[in-house]
Amino acid sequence: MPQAAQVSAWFTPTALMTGALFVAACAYVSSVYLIGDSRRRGEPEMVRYFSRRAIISGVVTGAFASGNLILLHGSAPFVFHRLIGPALPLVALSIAAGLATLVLVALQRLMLV
Amino acid sequence: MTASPESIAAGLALLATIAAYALFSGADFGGGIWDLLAGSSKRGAAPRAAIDASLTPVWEGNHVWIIFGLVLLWTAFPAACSRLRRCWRRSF
Repeated sequence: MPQAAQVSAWFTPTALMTGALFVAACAYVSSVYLIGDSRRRGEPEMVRYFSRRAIISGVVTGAFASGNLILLHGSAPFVFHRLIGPALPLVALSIAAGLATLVLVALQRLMLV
Repeated sequence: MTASPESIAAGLALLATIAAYALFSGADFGGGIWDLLAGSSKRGAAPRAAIDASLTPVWEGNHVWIIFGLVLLWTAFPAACSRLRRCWRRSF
């Protein structure tokens, strides 16, 4: 393959969406841990601060993950069909865990106010 | 093609390692993202102090998972590893 085609593989919509998904997921995981740490340190202001960011980044992460799945359907059907085939239980676990974490963060935020 | 019990076990270990890397090192990177987005030095002082207090003891230690994952990859799946390395080198 020519060099230009190789480099352009890093800038396809799927590649960019995967990168954005990773950044959003890191922010989400980190904000959830920071809620727990702030609570242990007895800083309700910081618990509120990171809860708000956890909910926002969680919703963004979910949106990017759904978008990525749609993009994979067109650009990498072999990955898409394995995700909805053999890997479906793991995908379902990931969606369920992501939603449960969002609900728990939202609930503890409500109880804090 | 059927996978040997050994390669299934190695594959599961690799899956667990990648999950640990995403969860622990991902949180390291995420701390940096929230530090970056915390705003002016006055407004962002409290969240930055919280991020520092949480991340300082564990910072970089979590990257042990990607090193372990790479070792697992080239030990258990050398053919796949060499294929990946060739693709990686040709991209630049």
